[in-house]
Amino acid sequence: MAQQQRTPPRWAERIITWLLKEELAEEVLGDLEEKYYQTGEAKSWSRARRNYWYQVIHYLRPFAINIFRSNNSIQLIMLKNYIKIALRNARKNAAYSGLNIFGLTLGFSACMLIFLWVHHESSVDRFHDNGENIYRVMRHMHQSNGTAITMAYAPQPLQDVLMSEYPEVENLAALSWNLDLLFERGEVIGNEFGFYASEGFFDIFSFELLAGTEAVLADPTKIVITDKLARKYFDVIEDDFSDVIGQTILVDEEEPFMVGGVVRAPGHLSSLQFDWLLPQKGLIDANSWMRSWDSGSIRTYVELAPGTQPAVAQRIEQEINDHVEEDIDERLTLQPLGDQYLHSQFENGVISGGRITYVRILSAAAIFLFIVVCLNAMNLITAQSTKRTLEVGIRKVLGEAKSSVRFQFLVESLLFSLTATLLALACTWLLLPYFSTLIDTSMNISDLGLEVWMYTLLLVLMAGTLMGLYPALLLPAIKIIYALKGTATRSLSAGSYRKILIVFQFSISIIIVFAAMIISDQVQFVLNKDIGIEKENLILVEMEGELAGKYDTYRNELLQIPEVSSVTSTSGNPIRYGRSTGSALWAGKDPGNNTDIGIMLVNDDFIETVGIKLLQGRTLSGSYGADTSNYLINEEAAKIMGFENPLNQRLSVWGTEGNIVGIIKNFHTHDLYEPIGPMIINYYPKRTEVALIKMNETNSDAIAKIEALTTTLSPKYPFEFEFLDQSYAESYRNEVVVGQIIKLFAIISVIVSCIGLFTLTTYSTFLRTKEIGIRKVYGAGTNQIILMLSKEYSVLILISIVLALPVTIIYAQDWLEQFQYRIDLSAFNLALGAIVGMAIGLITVGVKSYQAATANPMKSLRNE
Amino acid sequence: MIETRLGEFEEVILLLVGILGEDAYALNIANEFESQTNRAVSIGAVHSTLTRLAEKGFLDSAMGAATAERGGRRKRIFRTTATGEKALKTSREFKLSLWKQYPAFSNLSFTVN
Repeated sequence: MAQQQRTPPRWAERIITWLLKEELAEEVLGDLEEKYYQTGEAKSWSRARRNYWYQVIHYLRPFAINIFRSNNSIQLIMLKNYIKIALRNARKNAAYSGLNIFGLTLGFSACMLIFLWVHHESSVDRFHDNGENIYRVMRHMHQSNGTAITMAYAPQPLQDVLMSEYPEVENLAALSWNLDLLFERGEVIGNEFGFYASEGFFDIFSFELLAGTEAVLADPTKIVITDKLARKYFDVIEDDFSDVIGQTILVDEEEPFMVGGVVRAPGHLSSLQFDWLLPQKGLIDANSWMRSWDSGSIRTYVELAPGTQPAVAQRIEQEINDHVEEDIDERLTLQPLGDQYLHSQFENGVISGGRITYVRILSAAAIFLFIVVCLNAMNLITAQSTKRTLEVGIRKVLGEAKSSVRFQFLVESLLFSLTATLLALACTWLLLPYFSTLIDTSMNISDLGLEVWMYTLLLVLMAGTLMGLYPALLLPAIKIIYALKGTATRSLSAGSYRKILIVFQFSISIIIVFAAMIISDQVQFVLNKDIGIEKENLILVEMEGELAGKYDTYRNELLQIPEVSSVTSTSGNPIRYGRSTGSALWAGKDPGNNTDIGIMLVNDDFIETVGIKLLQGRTLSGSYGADTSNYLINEEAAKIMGFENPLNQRLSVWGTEGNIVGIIKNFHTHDLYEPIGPMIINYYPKRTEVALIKMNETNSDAIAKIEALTTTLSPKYPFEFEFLDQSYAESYRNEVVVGQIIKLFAIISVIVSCIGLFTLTTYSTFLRTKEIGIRKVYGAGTNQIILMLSKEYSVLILISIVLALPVTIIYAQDWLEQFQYRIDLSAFNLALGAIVGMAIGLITVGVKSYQAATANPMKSLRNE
Repeated sequence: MIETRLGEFEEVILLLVGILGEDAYALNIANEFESQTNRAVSIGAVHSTLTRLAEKGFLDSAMGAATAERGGRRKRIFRTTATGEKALKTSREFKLSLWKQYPAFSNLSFTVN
């Protein structure tokens, strides 16, 4: 344990000191501190902190706290009076108060939901006890062309080197790639998800073992399953898993494993997901190729002694280069465990983003929205409070100090923000289930720690102070004599600050509207982009178990189904393809060139089924005889190889030499964040793993027929398939979701801004009621009056748009940069957004102006 | 019906105060409660009960010694009073008499060390 000073949470201590009765302070603080150190030493310090907060909250009982510090003091009486006056005022202007609170509630709810989401996202992977010392080893494969490919999979021998040569490594866990294995016990059969893990797994990660021992992963005959699987395959009575230990389960149709441990399912706060864990030793023994430094199949996590990270990071960097004889450049870095979820995207060996991009965009949107909402409320409160100069005047005459008047207006705005926050909390609570389905996380209000409530309190105070700031500064300063004479109102309302606020607020709203438009345009663009594959009506079925050996039968039977037009098989899903090699050889290849080239193994009819365009030459087919040593390459590969005419050039992959017989058009094998890479296609039916089925039309009938056929051939495996167009869209879920949320935000901020504009117009027309009446009497037309009233605000809206445009353009360009394939910011789009913003603003102002302009002048002039 | 004036939680706390003797201060009582009953309890809840028991006259208290792990603060040591012990006895006798009237249990013998 680091020799660092551990102290109880400062804020909790302050709160309890402040609230506690004085005579109890010593003993209670003493007890709490002692408890803190006990928990910290016995369990963990983060737990001790949490417990401290828990204890503090539980001390807030009537016997211990000091509510009436100064009962019946003058301040308390005045406070009661302020609240009473505030409530009366709110009731008197019910429409205005209602609108204000409505706007605030809307904005706060949206901000709270986003805050909860951000909180959720940033707590992923933070539950491990020594999380701050756990790192994931990342491998950056530098290519000859200057780019680098980053992956978490490193050679297996690395783990032995780290264990034996690095004294700083306290624990190490090595995980295999994720895989689905067939589990079978009696009647129950299913494909289950998990990975192989080394012995150190439970030492490093804090997954909770419900039964069994932590040493279980050292024994190659044992398996660890989650409570979920235990319930599925075994009879579990209540929460007692001890009976499951020692029972066997059949894995992958051959090996019976004995259950050695039951672990609680990782849950949504873990980015490592699994339903089972098998000992890594068995996997390596069965796959000797993994022992090579040339392979990359293991995810390595290390727990380092505190403070040793920089030293280890420096030493580990060249570890692969030092062990591999070939001339390659691969570097290893350490990524903190807490970052792996949000910062998952690397570009040329450097973190370039990941989910964090969306966390940032939405946080920014939420902060902006919060500001818009507060400014709006501030504007409204100020406008209303200028009507109360008389009240302020009388208060001052009766001897109230400036500071008390200031306090009064702060209390009023705090009441507004408190009411709105309470309503927003209720809304958040109601909306949370829908929201978490929308964004595909399982957030739960009960997961929320104390911090969240602390932040909520902070929100009330911040918003309240912000909103009340201007009236609190403005009103105490008015001169009593003008206030009592009734002329102070005019001088106050002429202030230009409200115009500035309107401009600011509208600019932000317009920026959010632009953001919504641009993000949804880009998402549409991505989803509709021609990726070089005809992904519509294309189904993928994994060929597992018995199906693997029966491809020919499967294909022939499939082609009997009228809806099926063609069938092929490949070594992987073409829209998410990862297999590559750096060892392809061709005539004239620069020996220093180690560029990774994708390699896909395919069966007959590949080009036809997947719908890739053949540019030159012919396709691959079994009917040509020796096609196993012939290759198709894509345009990108042709460019890298640099042949003038690539057709019939010799190419050797994995030691098999053959001819390039055709060139195909580039197609995307990754998402659009990445450029299209070079690709070699080889005819090798034996090593294909997934069947691709192209249909004329998709209907449930055809799917049912395919299912029936598949399960007849491979009765044990559950039938699983995916539509390529759907899984393509699925891979952009983040973008789609963010697009939707931003749209919602745009709508809310426009509504709030319009509420503000509407009330302000109402207010300024109210001030000019008499003027309008007189103008009408002297013959002004409705049009002229509308023009006169809307002119002021129209100019402001125009300024807002002008200000919002450059900001939008800069940030939008920045966001779009990360996509290799993206929309252009079109002037048309921006203009459209501007016009929409302008129109909404003008309509809002216009409605009220029209009302004022058509009112009977008699009414406004009569009451003199 | 005999009025015992002791709730179940109050009774346990009162007993724990007696058991712990010179170490009977709020945190320690809460810890002891957790280890003996396997139920979680906050120090605040225990403290509130201790205060109530003191108001009823079952406990009295005095400030004890300070130790370093409490940031040099003293602790309040609680002691059972004669009234408190009497209340405990009354409560136990009342319960025993109820147990004896319960036909299925009436011939069980209760030994108290």
